Amino acid sequence: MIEFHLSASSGVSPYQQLVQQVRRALVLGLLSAGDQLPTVKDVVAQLAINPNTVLKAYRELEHSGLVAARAGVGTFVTSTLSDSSRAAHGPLREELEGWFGKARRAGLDDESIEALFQDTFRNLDAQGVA
Amino acid sequence: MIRLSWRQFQAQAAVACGLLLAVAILFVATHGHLDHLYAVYAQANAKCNASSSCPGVSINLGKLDQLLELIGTALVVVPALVGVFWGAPLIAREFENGTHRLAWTQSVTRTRWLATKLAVVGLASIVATGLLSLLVTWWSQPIDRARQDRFGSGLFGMRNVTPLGYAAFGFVLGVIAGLLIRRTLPAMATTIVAFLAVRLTFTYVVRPNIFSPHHKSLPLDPTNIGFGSSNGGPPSLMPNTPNLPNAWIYSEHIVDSAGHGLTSATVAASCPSLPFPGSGPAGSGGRVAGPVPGGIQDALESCVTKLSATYHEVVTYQPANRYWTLQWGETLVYFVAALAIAGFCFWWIRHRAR
Amino acid sequence: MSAVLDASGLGKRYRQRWALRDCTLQVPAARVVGLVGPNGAGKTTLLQLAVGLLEPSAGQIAVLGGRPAENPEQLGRVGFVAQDTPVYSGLSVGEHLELGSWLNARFDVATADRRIDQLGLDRKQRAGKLSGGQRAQLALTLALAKRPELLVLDEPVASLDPLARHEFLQHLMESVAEHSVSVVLSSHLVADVERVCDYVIVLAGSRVQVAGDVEELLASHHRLTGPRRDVTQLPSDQEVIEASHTDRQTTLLVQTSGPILDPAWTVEQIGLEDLVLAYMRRAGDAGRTTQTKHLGSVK
Repeated sequence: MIEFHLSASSGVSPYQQLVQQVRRALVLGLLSAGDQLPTVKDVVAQLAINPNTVLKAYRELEHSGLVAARAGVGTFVTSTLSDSSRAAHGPLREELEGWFGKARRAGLDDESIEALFQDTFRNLDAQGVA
Repeated sequence: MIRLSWRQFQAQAAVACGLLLAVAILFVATHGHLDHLYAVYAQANAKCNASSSCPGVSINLGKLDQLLELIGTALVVVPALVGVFWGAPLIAREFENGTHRLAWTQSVTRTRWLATKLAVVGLASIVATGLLSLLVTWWSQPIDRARQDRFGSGLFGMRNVTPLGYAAFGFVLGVIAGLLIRRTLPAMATTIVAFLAVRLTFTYVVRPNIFSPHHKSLPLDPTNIGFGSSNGGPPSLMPNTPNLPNAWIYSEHIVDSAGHGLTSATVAASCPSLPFPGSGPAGSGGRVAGPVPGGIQDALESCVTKLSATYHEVVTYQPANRYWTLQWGETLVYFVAALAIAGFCFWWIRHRAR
Repeated sequence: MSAVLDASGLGKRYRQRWALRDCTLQVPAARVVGLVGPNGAGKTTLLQLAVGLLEPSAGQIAVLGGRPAENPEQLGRVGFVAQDTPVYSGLSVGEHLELGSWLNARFDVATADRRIDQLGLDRKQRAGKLSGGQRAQLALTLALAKRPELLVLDEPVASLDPLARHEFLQHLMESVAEHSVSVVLSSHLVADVERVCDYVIVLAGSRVQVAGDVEELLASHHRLTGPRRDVTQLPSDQEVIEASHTDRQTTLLVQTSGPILDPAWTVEQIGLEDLVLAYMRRAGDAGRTTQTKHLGSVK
């Protein structure tokens, strides 16, 4: 069972953070098919947030096909990221490391690297590519 | 709600029970001895009255009995205490601590909340005071039998049923003070003042005028008149208390057939041999309380005999048979007043305490 | 679902001063409602009107379809924790639970007992000796144990340290998740409201300034930055909540349901705290007539 944490200053809304944390857990293999997500009650009891926030996050994950709610029982992971995409992780990670090396050698500091990455990602996202 | 009212009242109830128990034990333990003491006194008194050389018999109570008698007089204070310590904090403390906001948002209405608190503590007040009155009246029986003065202003409120009426009234007075003032200490102070005002007014202004008093004319009795001055005025003849057992004596005066009072000047003119200030040997300053010096006694008796041609004694009093009527009547009046105030409390809490 | 709280023209006056005025609200059910505003704005007055501790001087209010404190049934449907969480200092923790069962027809003693154990409270301890946080937890336990449909809390965490505050909100949210009770809580800490509330009411200057679902409010309010210009030139469906100008630049907070098409503006999202502050500042301008805004219909 994974545990959630919220960062108040991250600029990302709470429900988004929950969604991201589930996705991250799936990517990292902390969650696999059949695992149960923490119950809404347990999440709010730990984080002191509105239950609707958790419900919204779980609904979005369900909409993405990653989890399914079973009435009266809980919310369960239905699929992990496909093996093919898992397989792509290795080479993608290598490419990223190369890119980071290049950015460093060009003289960018951490903040500039992150800003560049975020900006590019968002633009691509807006264009519907990423 | 009854259980909660009782639980909140527990500490005060414990104190009251403890005190009542202590008083009960003391009274029960000493009653037999007191009875005996007064029996002996009665015998000695009878013998003294029969004899011509005995001026009088007095009884001296020991320290403990004096203390207990004092406790008996404390009965007059108990209704005020009940109002101040049980009545005033009943609602005021809840307002002061904000706990009324807890109580009024459970599932009982404020009316029921007030009614239950009033009933539980009010009943306790009446019962506690009633028990105390019972104890005091019972224990004081020998004293009352000897003094025959239970109808007087002092003892009337310390015996039998009137304390119950006072307790009910005092309690409700405290409650309404707390309800309107909302602070415990000011409510307590207000209760004391208001209670005293009502009690004093009723005792000295209302009660004497409920029934018209009787008047009784008595001839002057030379053996039963003294000489002296009261309240520092000029000396005159002082009538002794007439024999009206258990009556409530308002006053006794010496008047002539036209109703004019006997003045010091008249006595001085008729009986020059009596010790007026600045003439002859000094007499006693206050009322003659002990045996009169031999020579003066004869002069006094002849003076009285002389004046009894034109003067007689008039006693204003309530007869003893009105005692119980006034007891129950006064108790009823105080109870009705308590109910009226309680009714106002309900109206206030429903409509105005918001 | 009908409104848990329905007020129209509600007002309360103390002698000469109106503590609350022209209050019109329809608060939907199944929400955690945050009532925010500066001290003295009328939050306590509104909440006390809702639970029947006060009577309106003007207008009316209905809670769960009934008049507040009308009868024991109505009283049983609404739970309340007053400011400073009053408790009977002479009674013990356990006796407070007994009090709850004596004074309420419906009282879940078992759950309350469990919660007291969970909180680590000593049943025999007198309530007067509890810390502020413990007292608040006891009051919350009592209010929840009567299984109300609506729970009203008046600044429950205002005087608590951060840990006690967090624990209180944890307890509250867990109960909301478990029993789906509607909650109205007042606070002057917008951060807390942001965390737990999905509907917000801003009360300032004794009036409701804005009320609505947090999501809809945040979606319909935008910060516009751009070259200095006259605000009367804006399209009519854009209402300016706040405007500030430098010699070159104009910054606006606008409320609109439509898109913002003017390319000269940089449009930004706004956080709840900034939104609340803007409305509070607007109310603070003396002598201005304020408008009440309602977003989100009764669902």
